[in-house]
Amino acid sequence: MSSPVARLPAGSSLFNTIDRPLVRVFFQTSPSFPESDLRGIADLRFRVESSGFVRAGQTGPDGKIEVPMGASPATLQLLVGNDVVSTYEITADPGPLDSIDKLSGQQQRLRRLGYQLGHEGPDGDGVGATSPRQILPPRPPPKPDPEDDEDDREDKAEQKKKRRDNPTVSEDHFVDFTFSTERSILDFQADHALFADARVGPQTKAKLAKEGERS
Amino acid sequence: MLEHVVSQGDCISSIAEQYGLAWSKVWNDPANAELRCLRKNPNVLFPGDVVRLPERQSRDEEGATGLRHSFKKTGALVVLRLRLLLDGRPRRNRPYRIIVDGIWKEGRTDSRGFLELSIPGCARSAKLCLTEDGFQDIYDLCLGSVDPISTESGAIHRLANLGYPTNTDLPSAIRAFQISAGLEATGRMDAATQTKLEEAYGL
Repeated sequence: MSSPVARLPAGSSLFNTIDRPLVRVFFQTSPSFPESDLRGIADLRFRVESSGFVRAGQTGPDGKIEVPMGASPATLQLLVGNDVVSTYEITADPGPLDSIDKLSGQQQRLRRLGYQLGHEGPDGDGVGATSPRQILPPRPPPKPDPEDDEDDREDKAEQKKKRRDNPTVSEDHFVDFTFSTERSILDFQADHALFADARVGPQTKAKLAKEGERS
Repeated sequence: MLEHVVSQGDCISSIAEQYGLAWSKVWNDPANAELRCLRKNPNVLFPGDVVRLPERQSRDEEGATGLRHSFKKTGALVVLRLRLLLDGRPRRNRPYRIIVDGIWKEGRTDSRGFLELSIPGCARSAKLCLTEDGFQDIYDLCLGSVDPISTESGAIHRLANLGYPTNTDLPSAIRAFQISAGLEATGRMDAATQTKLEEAYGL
């Protein structure tokens, strides 16, 4: 399908605007491996087409590409040589995101930020069809450690790695980290130096809202 | 007086060129007063519109035999003028190549993302190629095919070119545009929405 545009007489002040909103797509390895900024799959050749617009290129070091959208869903193909090895259909919803207080709103923002929610469930939203997940109640933030040195970046990185490798689970709530949404929340918390408990408390919610809107 | 029934892709420029007339003479002919009133823009007609064509006037010129004589074709040129945006940001100062009816041309968008080039009045299609950030982008253009804003197809053409997903859910696309334009999100293409859409699109 081509983009219709008008011919114009010379000297006319009229014009045709062609805008293509961009949707970010991430190609990445499994979540939390090895670090969020190292998950991207580089040098993947792709071709994307939507409503008379074609973009061809390859992924950068971060595995991210920006897919220009048009009137119809975009078709994204991954190529090896000239052969198409995978085809995806991408649809953009121009409506606002769901509330950050809802699980769906948190998932939308996590997905926008590149966290992998998996393909479980009828909608592929990472939520099991037969066991709808509840948002775990927030737990009080940990008390600040008086010996914590703000400038000690090496120590912070070590703490972040420990939190990721050994997530803290409270005794009164069982957190099943095999579920992709909780795993993504845990990843998000670790990536943003938040206390990693896979719950969307006030700090995680505020950070997720801010980062999700910015993306 | 000859009459031409407009089909998709026609505009006054292409019709005038087809019949060897200047577009301004065709458009401003008294016989087309009703069409002018209905469509406002000579280059945005609707399939089924009727354009009345004035008689071609002949003129005699004297010239000596055995010599070369030059004649200059008068009449306004036809141009393709685009404003290219990506996610709302102008694609400024980008080199481009474009093929119109088999002829390649090169240029560069200006600081506001505009490009303008002369095209044959009857040109029907074009392919525009830009390279940016290592990506190659190709726009497939259908010339002269934008319908009037007062028609549903005209609204769809403009919304689609602005990147709204008209093929999946038109009322949602209209609502999204209304929100971005600061209008009440009714999902209906009312007069205020038409005006804002014309402004946003450029015609």
